[in-house]
Amino acid sequence: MEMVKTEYFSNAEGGRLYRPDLAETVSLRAENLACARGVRVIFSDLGFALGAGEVLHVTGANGAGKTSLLRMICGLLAPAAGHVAISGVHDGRDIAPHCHYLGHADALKPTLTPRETIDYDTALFAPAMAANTDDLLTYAGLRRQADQRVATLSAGQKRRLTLTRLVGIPRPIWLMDEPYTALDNAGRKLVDTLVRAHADAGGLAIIAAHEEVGVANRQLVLGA
Amino acid sequence: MKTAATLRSLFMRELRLVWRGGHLMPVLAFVFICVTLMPFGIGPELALLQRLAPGLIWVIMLMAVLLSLDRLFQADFEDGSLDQLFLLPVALEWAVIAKIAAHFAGIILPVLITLPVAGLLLNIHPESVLPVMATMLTGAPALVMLGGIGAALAVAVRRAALLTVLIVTPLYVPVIVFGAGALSTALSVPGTLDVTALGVLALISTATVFLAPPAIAAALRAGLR
Amino acid sequence: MLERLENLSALYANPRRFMRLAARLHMPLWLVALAVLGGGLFMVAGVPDDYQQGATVRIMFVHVPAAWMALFAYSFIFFASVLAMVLRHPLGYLAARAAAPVGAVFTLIALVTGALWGQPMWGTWWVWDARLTSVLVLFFVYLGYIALWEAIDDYGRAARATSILAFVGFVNVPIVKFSVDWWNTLHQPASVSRFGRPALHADFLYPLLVMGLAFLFVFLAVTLTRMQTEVLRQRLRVRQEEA
Repeated sequence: MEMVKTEYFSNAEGGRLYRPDLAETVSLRAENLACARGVRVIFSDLGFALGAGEVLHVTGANGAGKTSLLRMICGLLAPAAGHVAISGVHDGRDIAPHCHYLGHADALKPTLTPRETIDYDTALFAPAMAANTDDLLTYAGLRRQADQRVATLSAGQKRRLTLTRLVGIPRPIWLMDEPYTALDNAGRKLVDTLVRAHADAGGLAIIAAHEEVGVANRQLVLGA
Repeated sequence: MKTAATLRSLFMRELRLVWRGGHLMPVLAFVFICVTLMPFGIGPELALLQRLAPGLIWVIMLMAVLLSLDRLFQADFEDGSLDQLFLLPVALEWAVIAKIAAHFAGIILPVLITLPVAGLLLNIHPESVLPVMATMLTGAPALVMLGGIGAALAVAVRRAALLTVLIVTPLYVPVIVFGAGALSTALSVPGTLDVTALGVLALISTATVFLAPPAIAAALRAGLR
Repeated sequence: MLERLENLSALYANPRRFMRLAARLHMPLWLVALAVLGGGLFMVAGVPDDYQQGATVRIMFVHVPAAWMALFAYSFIFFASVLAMVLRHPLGYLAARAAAPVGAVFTLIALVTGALWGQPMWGTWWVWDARLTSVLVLFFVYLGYIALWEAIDDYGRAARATSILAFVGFVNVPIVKFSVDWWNTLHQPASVSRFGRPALHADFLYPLLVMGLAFLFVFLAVTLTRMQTEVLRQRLRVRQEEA
């Protein structure tokens, strides 16, 4: 029996974890944000500011608007009122290209292989970057599954494959919607480790989750 | 430069997805089933089939395009890939063009290539095959672009196929009219082209290639939740 | 919560000023519409029979204004949508949505009366005449527009999507007309006996214009009523969700 590998995202020599190379550090400010669904107002007058290296834990009951808030920040959802601004990048008007959004859905194509997934992600999101696909596959613990179809992976393996996008393509803002779902303890630890490394490098992260988020240093409770 | 590289990768990825997903076979099967059903419906008389062939081929192709539309954005919407499309370092309009181009190359082009062969079953004059392909090639970009608008508008709707057909069909009327016109000339006088109708068709196709992507991108943005 | 809604520049603003204005306009508009319609019908009854068409010429007084309204209502939807998008005001979406089924019914009336008129005129219920075909396509445009409103559950997303469709459809309709004209000259033998279009005699013209005006007022009145109903329905939903 092979030992279950617990330290994903560390290479064979052990210990070399994700060291992001962020070209830019940003700060993020949301003002008077409001979210409406149908004729109902989910939240309103929501504001916060996040600086480089900060990790915000967004929590609240089901339907409190956690997902909507994350999507508003990267422009996937137009706020009913208010606005989001970033500073620290040369083109601060468009926030989307500076964000990673990790949603409920994995955004994986079942007919591609993990290797192809990583190759294409790099080519699409950072065409100038050389793909370090093998490293990422090793880090994600998917070396053996590299050339089988994504459809055959387990939920946790798919989640780890999704995380390679965050690791492989440096972007200063991480928006993570329930990132711990489907992950075992090692996987959860992995998410925390990645987020901490990201924050240490000057990135910022917003994590929507029901459970405690140890790595967070700020908290926002929606619907309170 | 970076935009071009991103778009090339997106095109290749989509093409591979079309291929791996086996999306071409059902559409091709549909085309040949339609062609086979026609003589049953209107009688196997060869002269009659020859007269009706251009319109039949053109309508069958239109229905094939309609049938292929639902996978254009629906799958991406459901698995979260559409969100990632918004986060790409290129404008959504460009990404839309790359996706539709891949759809065109992966599904529509193979259908176009087989359609005149299918037309032989409807007793098309062999010399007419090339003009028929030229006509369909000129009109097909408009069909796909306009279809993309319908597919994008209905993206967040469950069981959107019928709604897409309802939205798209009125948009297809000008294309189908000029396409059928060009085809009827090509088939009545074998080996000739109706330059006027082809010109108008090319104009419509060109216009949609420029005007549809912003509309599609706007529709996709409107469909986000 | 209702106060809160009003503070948002959201799509769901509670249009109190509109409702006050609508309440004042409602009755007078309906009265005018019915009065003009009654007057128009009275004038139509007094029109002499046409020397070619006999009494069937009276179908024209329903058919032609209905066809006008089919086009007018679609233009109304287009401009309301554009206004809503430019001014970011929800009233435009409300008006566009309310007008669509009304326009579709006028289009259907134009199609049905056209068929009824065509039977004695052309000897067939339907000819693929350029005009008739374009109106049929317009009817499908209406159906698609209404279906899209119904298919999307969220009001804001439905409003944005249907606006885009209204815009595309508005561009499309003249192109359809042009292409069908071209198609028609290609396929239709010139033998189809459309009666010539001499300047309409005053005996026919004035009743026709009055009927057109009547249809316009009926359109406005029904649309206004539908808008009021929609606002009330949305208020009810807010109340129900609060309870």
